Amino acid sequence: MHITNDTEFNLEESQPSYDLPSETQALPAQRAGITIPVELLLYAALLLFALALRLPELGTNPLNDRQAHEALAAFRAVTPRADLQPDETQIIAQNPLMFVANTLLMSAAASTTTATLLPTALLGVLVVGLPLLFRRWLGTGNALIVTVLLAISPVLLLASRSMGGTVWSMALALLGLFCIGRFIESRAAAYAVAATIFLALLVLMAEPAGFVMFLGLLVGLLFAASGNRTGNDTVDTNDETTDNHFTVSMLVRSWPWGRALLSATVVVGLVGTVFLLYPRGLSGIGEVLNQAIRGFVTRPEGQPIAFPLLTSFLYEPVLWVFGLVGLYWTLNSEGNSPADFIRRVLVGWLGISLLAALFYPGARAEHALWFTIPLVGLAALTVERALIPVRDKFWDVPIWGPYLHGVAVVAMLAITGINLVIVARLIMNTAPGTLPTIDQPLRLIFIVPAALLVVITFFLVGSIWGARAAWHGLGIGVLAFLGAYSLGAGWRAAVVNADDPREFWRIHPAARNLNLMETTLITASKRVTSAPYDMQILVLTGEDGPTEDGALAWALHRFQNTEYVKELALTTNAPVIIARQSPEAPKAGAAYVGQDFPVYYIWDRGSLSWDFLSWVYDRTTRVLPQSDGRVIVWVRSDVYGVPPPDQASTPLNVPPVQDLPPAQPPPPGQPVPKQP
Amino acid sequence: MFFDWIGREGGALLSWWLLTLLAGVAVYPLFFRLMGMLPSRGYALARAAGLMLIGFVFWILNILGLLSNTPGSTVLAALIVLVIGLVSYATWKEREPILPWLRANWSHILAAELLFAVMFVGWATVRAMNPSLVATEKPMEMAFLNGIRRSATFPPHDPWMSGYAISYYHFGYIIMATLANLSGVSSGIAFNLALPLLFALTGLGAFGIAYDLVVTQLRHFTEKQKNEVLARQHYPSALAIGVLAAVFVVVMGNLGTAAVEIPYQTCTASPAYLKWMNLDERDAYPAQDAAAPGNCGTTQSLDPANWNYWWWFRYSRVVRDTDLTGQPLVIQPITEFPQFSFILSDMHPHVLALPFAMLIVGLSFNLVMRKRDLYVWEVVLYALFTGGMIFLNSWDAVYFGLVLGAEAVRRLTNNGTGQLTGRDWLGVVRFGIALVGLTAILYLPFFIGFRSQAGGIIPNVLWPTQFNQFFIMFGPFLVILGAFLIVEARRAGQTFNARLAVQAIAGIIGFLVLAFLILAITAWFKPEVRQAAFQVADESGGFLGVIAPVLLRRLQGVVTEGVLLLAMFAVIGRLFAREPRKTDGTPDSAPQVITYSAATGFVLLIIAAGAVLTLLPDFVYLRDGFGVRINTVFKLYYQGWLLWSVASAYALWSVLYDPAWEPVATPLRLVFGALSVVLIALCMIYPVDAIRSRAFKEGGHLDPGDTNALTLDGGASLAMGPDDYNAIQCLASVAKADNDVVAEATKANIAYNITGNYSRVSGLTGIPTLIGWDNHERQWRGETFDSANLFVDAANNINETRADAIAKLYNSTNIADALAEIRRYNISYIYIGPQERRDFSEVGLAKFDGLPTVCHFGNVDVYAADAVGLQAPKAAGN
Repeated sequence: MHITNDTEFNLEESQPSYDLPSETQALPAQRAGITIPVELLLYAALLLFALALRLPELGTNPLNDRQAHEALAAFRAVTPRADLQPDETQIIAQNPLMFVANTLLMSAAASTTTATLLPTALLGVLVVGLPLLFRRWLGTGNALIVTVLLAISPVLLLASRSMGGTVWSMALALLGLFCIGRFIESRAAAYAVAATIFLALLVLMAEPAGFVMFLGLLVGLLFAASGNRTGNDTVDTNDETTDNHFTVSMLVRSWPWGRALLSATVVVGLVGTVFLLYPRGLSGIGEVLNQAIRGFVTRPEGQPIAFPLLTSFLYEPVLWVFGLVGLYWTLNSEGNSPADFIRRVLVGWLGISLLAALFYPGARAEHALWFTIPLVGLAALTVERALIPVRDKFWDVPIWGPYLHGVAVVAMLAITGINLVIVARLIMNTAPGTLPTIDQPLRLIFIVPAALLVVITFFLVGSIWGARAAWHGLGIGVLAFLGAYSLGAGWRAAVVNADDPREFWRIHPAARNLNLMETTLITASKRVTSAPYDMQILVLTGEDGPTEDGALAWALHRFQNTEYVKELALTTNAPVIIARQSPEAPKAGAAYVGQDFPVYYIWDRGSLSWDFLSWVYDRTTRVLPQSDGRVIVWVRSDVYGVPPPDQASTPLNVPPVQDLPPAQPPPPGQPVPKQP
Repeated sequence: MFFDWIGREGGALLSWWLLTLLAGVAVYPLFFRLMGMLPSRGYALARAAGLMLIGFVFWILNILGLLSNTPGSTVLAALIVLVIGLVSYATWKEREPILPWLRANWSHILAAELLFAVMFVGWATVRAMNPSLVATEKPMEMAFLNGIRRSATFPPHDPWMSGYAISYYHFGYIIMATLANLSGVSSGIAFNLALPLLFALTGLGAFGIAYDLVVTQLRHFTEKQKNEVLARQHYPSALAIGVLAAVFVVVMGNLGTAAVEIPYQTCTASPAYLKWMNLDERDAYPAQDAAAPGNCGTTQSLDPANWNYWWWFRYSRVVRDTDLTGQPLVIQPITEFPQFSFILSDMHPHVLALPFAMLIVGLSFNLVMRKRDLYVWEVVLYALFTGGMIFLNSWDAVYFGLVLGAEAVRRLTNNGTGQLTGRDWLGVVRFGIALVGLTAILYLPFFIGFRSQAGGIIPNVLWPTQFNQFFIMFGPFLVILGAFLIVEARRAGQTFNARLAVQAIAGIIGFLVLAFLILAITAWFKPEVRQAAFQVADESGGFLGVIAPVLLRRLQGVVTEGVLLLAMFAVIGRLFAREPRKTDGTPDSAPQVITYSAATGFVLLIIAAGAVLTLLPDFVYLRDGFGVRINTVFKLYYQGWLLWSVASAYALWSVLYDPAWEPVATPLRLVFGALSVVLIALCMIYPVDAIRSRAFKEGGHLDPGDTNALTLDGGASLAMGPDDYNAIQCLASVAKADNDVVAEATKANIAYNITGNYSRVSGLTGIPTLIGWDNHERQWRGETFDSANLFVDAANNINETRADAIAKLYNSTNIADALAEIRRYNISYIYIGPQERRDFSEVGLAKFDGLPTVCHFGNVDVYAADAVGLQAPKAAGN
């Protein structure tokens, strides 16, 4: 491959060491019958592993406002509310591709929370497998390492399990990059057309910030193409029939713009309108653009500056450590292989991601994926070098040597970690807001010997097998330790702490109590109508009240007779009225008893201080999260046969269980706030 | 004060500036190719083109159900335009690189941007000094703006007739509503930003066209004289002429202030002069006080701040029609001009269409410059832009004529014979059919739903325009263009085709007479026309007795008509050049028939077009609800002003400086220059004085110790006090459903807020009310209004108008009546503010107390129209 001053690049020549086995080499295996290559098995195992991380308890936690908005957009498209005109039922999705997938899935299957989360979760699995496409350029081992790193990536796991639009843009960006590479290789117009389609979908239909990934890709390509590693600015044609060396300007000129743009327009039009089934779905594309622009000036409430960057730092330290080393090697590399070219693309991509994280306030936690792709690619280089056997002119290094060193490093890092955990737990026993006593932080001193042991071991190994082996061992140890930490952190954030606002990923999660509320309402509905979802429910909206596209609305979406009203008529006697928590009972035409439910949880990050240690390890803090956006479910008193107290309607702390004792008088008084 | 205002509302100004710039950027790749024949590539017109094209894509996709009325959809529409433009540019085989062109033309771009910024901020400042939206038809325009902003889909709801879509040319309101939605400003601010935007866009368009005309002429000179150095020396004058054209179009007023108002106010005019001028309320001094000699009943002040309230309004009525007895008609023709429009600040369709009219003029010039026929996609775009004028302001359909005229001139200049061949005529006709057909297809959804009061064309027998009044309106243009035509006739020399011109003028006169007769006969079959004719005849002693006065009356217009026909004569003679002859009469061996450039040819075309537009109202007018030529004069003179403004800027330059021709004798040039300067200066008195009255005086900025802060937010001025405004704003924030209907006070036969403050709730929120200003609704809906306004039940027991229904809803003490109206008209909210408490009975209003209150401010209540609540006892549930 030749990279010239005139920004030439060539992806035709792949690394010889990573070439696929030729057909003749494969013949003996064919003779033995059906064989399954180990590589394929590894990929299958990794995909299964990724699937296993994504499916358990999917849908257990209620959707937050953003997810509910997307889910309801699809749900309303499939099931327009009977009491409104079609136009009014419209909630415009901000992730049109997800909207299309959800619409189709809801039409064909069910409109459950799990079904809503499923398309993105499955796409996350697909993304884990996408490096397979780049195997021809990266080589077998490197592609496999990339796949492993993606499989354990907490950010990808979290985004996949929480309807992250960035997963869609990541998939499209990778597919686009692959098609561009293939177009350069083969000059087959179909690849250019496909790349244009993928990139159009990325910018217009994946998510509002999809353009950032597009820019990352674009700048990455320009950066890589502008790097001259040979000083050779002549066109070197190896093939008489095909000019394999492109400049950027040649690439632009040879791109079949007319066909590509027309095809992209048709595909965007078809997909945007859910294959002409929902014409107004195109509004979603407009909404993507609108939100993309607003993202330059509007930061989502409660979100810190450079949120994606901080999220990436916190959840993916392994990628940053190894990725930055890979970045250093890439920038100092003189190589001109396709893999080097791709890594230089990733360097440019990383730069744009960094700029976007700092200067695009509209980015959310899931946009930490902006860093994941380039870092995974760069980290794979470091990991690959750490794992390959050490060959040294002066030292005879056994293959197991660095691995043994790695085990030792893991052990010593674990000792360090355990000490930190002990200190953290001691601090947790003190009262919130108070400083820990001096002896507690002093225990951190125990970390010093453990850290020193890491250094001593490094030099010890170095003195036996040389510095190179020591570095390899250190790398393996750190990789294992941080990899395990990342995987654990990802799983905890995605499943265990799915509604915990102390999880850095989650700003305003929906409370699991919404599930309880749904169960309560099903019971009430059965009492009123003998059917689980037929009961009339009035939701009182208004200023700061529940919205028609938020978490509460999704929790109620299956109750087909739910109405959102701004005011209650004085004669209202609906079986259930849901209103924002207020000391005043609703003025309606019947007596009601009430039960309060939190809709969200919030947590004050400012209260962290010394809790930082325990928060880093298991997200526990002395200051607990608080409930937010509480509503009261007012049930008409005759539904459960509860006689009204003195006042016509009084909020009561009726336990939200299915079968209340029909004649048990409820305790009087105001609703007691519940802790999550 | 100014900087404080900029600090508060500068963001809104900036966002509109940026949005229009982006609209221009989005369309520029397409425009760069489409307008490739213009030296400026249509840079100054790109903003207007972008707004129109994006607006069209947004509207049509909404109408087709592919988009919703959201800011995001507007952005998508812009992206679609950009992609189309990029594809068009990328597939252009002879494409010219844009960036080098931009670098080479930086002076034009910089001047255009500066001019736009100065005009935009300048007029915004004028509006900020007096942002009130109370007077004339601003409430109606505010209602359109808000109605479109809050409609979930298109066609937008008519806020003044619930259950119906807007039946009016409302494209301009859609464009402004999308800008408002994108920038997120309130409609009160959007309204007052739209006017400076239109002001600046129109000026910018005129600047661009005039610049292109001059540069084209200079390039023609370079080709002819091979003197590029001299041509380049004149290039800065192109920028200056561009600015002059902008001033002519939107800044300059007519001669009324200088010729009538100042002499009147200062008592310097003789009574005979005033009588001769014969302007409404200025034809004589007020009754004089005998005790004070010399007191003519005026302020005798030169300061307009001391003159009568809204004195400037009179100069939009400088043509005065009278009946056969000499009595002025009750309804007089409107002679509005752009500066008046901006002083008045109504956002009417003719104002909204101004920048786009300039765009069509630019497109026409581009067409004249072309060497070959338009491609199909270009014809589609021409149809889209030209047809859009009907959606913007239906009277602007006249621009079809201009585009077709441009196509004819293109063929004329390209074939080089000085004549249009049969093939040319066929081409023009084919082009016209394509334009009309494509317009019908592209704007079909609008045409399907559009109803109007227009009832055909009828002959104008009695009201020719007196020349003195015509001169007050167009004085400077007449002088400049007259001189230019004389000079051009001289430049034509032997190629001036006087014979054809005479034949053509004779043909035009013949055609006018014939058309007049045909229309008269046709009109005679309309009973109401016949009845009116009989009435006039009876009052004048029968038909025989009428003939002489009518003929005498026609003589009043002879000078005006003669001048205009003379202008046409000169244009035809120059445009349709004949072969120069030798002294013996034989054709020259190598004749150069066409000696004028495309720029001059186009200017001649727009001079003639202006003459036709201003001549037509002397012979015909549109039959509408008024029965006189009020709108015909208004709408056609208005377009005449635009065309003559651009033509005059070029003509002034051509007569004084054009290096392509031998200079006019210096004394003549000096006289002409001085006369022009004086006339222009006299016309510039109008904006200076009118701004002083309208912005400074009315805005309270001349009051001692003025503390009135500048603001663009005029929304509150439409409400009846702070409580009313707060309640209306509260309602707007609560009522989000697309099918909401609000009940508020109204009256039958209202056209303006003269006897009360009606339809303000629907106007300020866009939530449809049962009926707003019904007089206007009748104008918009024509014959279909009554069926929409009247409810007749099956048994014919109930026969009520919507105004009746409102009165019954509020006044009736019978709850069943109110319930019936709520259900019949799907009323969601009942508004009780100062006007409602004034108009309706207290007992009637008391019945709403049982309803849930949505908003409450002071004495203003907004109720949710809950039918069940109305039936229940007042204290239920409490």
